[in-house]
Amino acid sequence: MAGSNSTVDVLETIRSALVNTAMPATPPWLGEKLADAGLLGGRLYIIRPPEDAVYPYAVMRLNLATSGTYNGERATGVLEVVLYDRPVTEVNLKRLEQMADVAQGALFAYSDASGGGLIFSRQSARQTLPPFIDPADANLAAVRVTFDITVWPRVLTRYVHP
Amino acid sequence: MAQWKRPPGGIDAFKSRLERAIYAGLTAQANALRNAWKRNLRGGFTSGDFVTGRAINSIRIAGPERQGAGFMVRVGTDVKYVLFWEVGHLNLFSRRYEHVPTLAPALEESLEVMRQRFRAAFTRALAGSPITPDGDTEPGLSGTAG
Repeated sequence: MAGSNSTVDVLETIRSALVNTAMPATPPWLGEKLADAGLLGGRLYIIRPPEDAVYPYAVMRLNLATSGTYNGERATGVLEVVLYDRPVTEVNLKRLEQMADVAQGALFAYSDASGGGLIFSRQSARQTLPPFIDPADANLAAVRVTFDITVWPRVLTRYVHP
Repeated sequence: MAQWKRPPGGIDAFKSRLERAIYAGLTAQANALRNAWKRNLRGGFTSGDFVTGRAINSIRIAGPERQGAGFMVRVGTDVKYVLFWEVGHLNLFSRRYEHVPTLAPALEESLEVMRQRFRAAFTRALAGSPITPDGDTEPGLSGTAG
C-alpha cells in the first residue's frame, strides 16, 4: 500500500519508486528503469537478499530518526541502496554504474504524498566500492548510492492530525 | 546605544582564535564518534571468536583542516573489511550475505553527544582556554589565545 501508514508502507513506497521510475525516453537516455530485465529485473530487496539471489541485485536500507523539532512528527535519515553484480567484468561494472544512474534519477527531486503523510528526497551521493578482498568474495562488484530522506509519516502524525 | 568594541588583539587575533575554536570543536566531535565506533567494534562482527583488535586500532582521525569555505574532520579506517561489513558483502566463510554496520549506528548514537562536545569545546576555546590534544579545553586554566 502506498503512503506512510506504517514503516513497511514507507519502505514499499520508496522501493516502488526506485524500481518503476523510468529515465527519460529521449536520447541519450533510453527510458530504462530498474524493473527492466536488462538491469535489476526488479531484484531490489529490503535489508537483505534471499539466499539464492540472482545477480545483479540490490539491497536497500532505511535509517530514520525524529528530533524534538516538529514535535517528533518529522523523521529524517538516510536511504542506502547497494547494487551488486558478478563476475567483475567491464560489462558488469558499466551496468552497475548505469543502474546507479537510474536509481539516482528515480529519486531525483522525489516526493510522494499518496495515502497521507509525505516522503521526499533532495540529495544523493554515490560511491563505487573498492574491490572486495577476504573475507568478502572478490568476484563481486558493488556501487553504493545514498539518499537523504525526509518523512512525515502518517503512522506518527495521525495521532495529532487524525 | 550599544557600541561595537574591537576584540582584544584586533580582528586578526579574533579570526585566529575563532579558527582554533572550530578546530577544537571538530576534534572533540571526532573523538566522540571515534569512541562510539570503537565500542561497536569491540565484540567483532560475528561470534567474537576472531577479534584481533586490528579493526579497533585502525580507527583514525584526520584533520581538522580547511576545505573550501569551511572546515572538515574525518574519522575513518584503512582496514578494508570494516567497509565490507558496513555495506554488506558475500562472505567466503559463512557463504552468506553478511551485513554488520558499526559506523552508522555509532554516528546515530553519538549525534547528540557530538553536538554537545562541539559546543563545549568551541565555547571554551573561543573564551581563550588552552586546548588539550584531544580537542578539549582545560577549564581550570585561562589565558589569551595567540
